[in-house]
Amino acid sequence: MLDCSEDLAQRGVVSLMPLKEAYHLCCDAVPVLARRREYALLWEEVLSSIAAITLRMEPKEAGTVFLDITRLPGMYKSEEQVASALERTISDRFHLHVKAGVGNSRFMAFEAALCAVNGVLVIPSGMEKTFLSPLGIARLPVADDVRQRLRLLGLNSLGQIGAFTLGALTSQFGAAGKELWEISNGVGERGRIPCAFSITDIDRELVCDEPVSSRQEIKAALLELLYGLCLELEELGKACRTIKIVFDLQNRTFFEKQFFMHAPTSHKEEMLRRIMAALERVELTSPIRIMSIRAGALVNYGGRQEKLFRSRTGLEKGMKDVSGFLKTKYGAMPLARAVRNDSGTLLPDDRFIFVEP
Amino acid sequence: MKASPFEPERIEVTAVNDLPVWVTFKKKRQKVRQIVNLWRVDDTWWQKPVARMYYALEFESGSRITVFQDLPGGAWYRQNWTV
Repeated sequence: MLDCSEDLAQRGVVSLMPLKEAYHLCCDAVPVLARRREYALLWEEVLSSIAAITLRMEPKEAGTVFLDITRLPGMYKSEEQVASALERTISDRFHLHVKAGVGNSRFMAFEAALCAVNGVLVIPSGMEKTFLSPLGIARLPVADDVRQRLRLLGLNSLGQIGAFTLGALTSQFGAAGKELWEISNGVGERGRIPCAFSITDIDRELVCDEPVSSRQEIKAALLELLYGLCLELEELGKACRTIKIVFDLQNRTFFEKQFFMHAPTSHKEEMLRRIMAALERVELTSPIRIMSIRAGALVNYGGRQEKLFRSRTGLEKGMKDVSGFLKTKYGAMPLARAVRNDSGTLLPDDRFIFVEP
Repeated sequence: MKASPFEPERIEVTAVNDLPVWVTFKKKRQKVRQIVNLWRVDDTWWQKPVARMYYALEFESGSRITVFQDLPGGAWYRQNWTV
């Protein structure tokens, strides 16, 4: 079974369930012959339309997709706006009826979408338990034996489960008890959804209210552009190797320059320093009307690694340098010293033992 | 006798076009300023069907409350965490 109506979904039927099982839950269900190819193609198109709003998407099954709007994308001011825009986009283009739910976990968002009366339901912070409490245990994503035991204990709703402490549930259900507690208290899985498509470059453009010509004005405008650009890079978990600037000048000419960074970066100060240093040697023929910046050759960015393991002296110096940063970040130095480990391994992480204070 | 914590608290609601306008609970009658949110829950609790229409309400006093109407019976209840 590819998909089902909302009525069936509320009775526990889910997509990709065998027909026999679906009939068991809902004997009066009416089957409609699936056209798999057309269905898959349409769903791909729907996902492409959603990509205009956010790239952080996780399709669950045909007809259901989870979006990550932890940081509101684009021009949207609230979760309601994003959800309404999504609903409008899909219904206008594909004439499909859309239900959107917003919550702090996948489970909550999915349930909110099922319960939405006007197409969109946002569960604001603080309302999670109130919303979840009347939901029945049939909706819980747990093993059948756990659900059966809950029934034997007379627990019908998530509210009744949420009334128990974490300790009480884990002692009764083990690891599943923790999951039950988390879901019923509205603290389900919150891992961020990665980008569904690979991005090679990102752009930012700024149209100046008044043409700018002085170094100070150019610097301020560039900083504003880079702020947005770096925020997006951080959001994507990327760093750029190249930066290209294009200035649209008042005399209808263009100035463009490309920079190759020594190491991939997502720091606006570093980019600004590099651009301003290059502009020092350039005389623009006219004030700037429009500025645009492109961050290219994007790579995944997992932070900067200190070269602590090159040599013994390098280690000591590196430790000294990095300790200030760690102290600022964690409030205290999390390492007392690094001791050489004579295990003979070639892996740098195993050659040293880090001693906590 | 004290009610079970799993029993919902019955309240009186005056509705116009099925939307709550006045709510009486704890012997106090309050006028609804706006319906902040509404949603519907259709579920089955151990083979017992549950159909409820939920309303997150804001009173003119500024306080908020979540109430629901039991759809087959039409009675109104105040929502708490355990029902």
